[in-house]
Parts: sequence; structure tokens; C-alpha cells
Amino acid sequence: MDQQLNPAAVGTAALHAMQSDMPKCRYMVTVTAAQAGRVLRRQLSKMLELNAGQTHELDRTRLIEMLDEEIAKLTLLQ
Amino acid sequence: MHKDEIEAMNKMDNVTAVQFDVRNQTEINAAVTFVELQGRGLYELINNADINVFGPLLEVPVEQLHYQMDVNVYGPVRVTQAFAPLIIQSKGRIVTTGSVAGIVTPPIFWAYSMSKHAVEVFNDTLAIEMARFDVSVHVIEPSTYKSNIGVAAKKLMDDANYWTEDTPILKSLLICLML
Repeated sequence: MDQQLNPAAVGTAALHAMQSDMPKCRYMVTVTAAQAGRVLRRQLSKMLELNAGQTHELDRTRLIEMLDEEIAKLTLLQ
Repeated sequence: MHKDEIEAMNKMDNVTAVQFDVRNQTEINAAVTFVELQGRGLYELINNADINVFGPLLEVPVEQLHYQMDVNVYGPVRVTQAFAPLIIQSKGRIVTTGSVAGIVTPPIFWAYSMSKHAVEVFNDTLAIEMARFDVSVHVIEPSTYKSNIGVAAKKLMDDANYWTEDTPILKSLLICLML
């Protein structure tokens, strides 16, 4: 079996969720880096689509601040 | 699961396989009773059963969509509701198999993607509800790993005589994918 398609990586993520002292809420497990990039980019594009033109549209500076705040929260949890 | 897979699991140390259909509440309740009778509690629940219905949105029969949601969405809801008292008692964990298709939407696999988007909601809601019981909730989001889900999906469509019907959009999409 192509090692890249070996589902053992999925099992490893599930084991971490079940056994780790610091389990994550979400485990994305992709075969390729390109797949991971597409999923994350789509999340970003959805966020920008939501923001664009709305009554309380946030500017780029505020969006970056929010991203940094979320990164800080995640770092605290880890 | 096949009979030989059940037998193989039963040969493992500390493993007892119990098979049930996630669409069948009676079978689920029987599984709960079986676990309760073991008298050892339950610490982990893994919602992993899923199927994949595929085809263009304009062509997939609604009955197939019902089947998709019945297994992938209502299945975890039924099973989790049934086993929740045991998991709460042990302050355990619930892990559900989602998919990157629950975040992005690949063409043709929209029904599967719709079900996995619903799994995201299921997981987020369950996490909020279970926090007060010290039960943690997790979702695994795999991409295109090798599994039997594609074989099962093809069998499902074969059984429904899907390929023999007039499905021009599917045919055009498949031709695009091949190009």
C-alpha cells in the first residue's frame, strides 16, 4: 500500500484524542501538504467572504489582530 | 463488519466485539445493555461508522440522501445519546470521525460533505453540552486515506441501478475529472 494512503495516521490521531493528557478538539489528518493547504485556505476565504461588504466590516489590521489572538489562545491550551 | 473480522477482534486481549447497525435503535439499546452487564463501565465512545453516497446534486435520489444522513449524522446522534450515561459516569471521551469534506465541499461528494458538515455541528454542540460533565469531545478530520468506503459507495449505487439511469451531469463530471 502507498504509505501516503496508509490510514495508520488516522488511527494515530484517534489514539491521541483518546489517550493524551492534552487532547485537541480537532485533528486534521491529510495525505498531502497540498490538501491541508486547500482546507485551511478555504477557511480563510470563507472568513473574508463573510467580512467583505458587511455593515461592520473589519479592516486588515483588525483581522490580523484577531488571528494573533486566536493563535495565543491555542498556544495557552497547548 | 464481516464475521471473520468480528472473530479476529474477539481473539485480541481484553476485546469483545459487539456488532450493531447505527440506524437501528433496538440494536443500539441491546449493545448498551451488553456493555452495562459487563460491569466495567465505558470510558471511550468512537463514532466511526459512515458511508459515502456520491453523484451530482441534481441527480442523486433523495432516498440515497436519507440513507447518507441516517448513517453519518443520525447514527452518531443515536449512539451517543444511548451511551452518554455510561460515558458521563466515567468522565470519559467521545471521538467522532468527521472529514475534511466537513470543511470544504468536493464536487460529486456533496452528500457525504453535507453529512460531514453536520458532524461538525454535532461535535461542537456535544462539546458544549458535555463540558459540565467533564467529558471531552473530539473529531478526527481525515482526507483521502485508503478505506473500503469507496467500494461500499459503488455497491450502493450499483444496487440502486444508478448507473443505468440517465445521469448526464455525472457522466460529464466524470469526463472532466478524467481529463
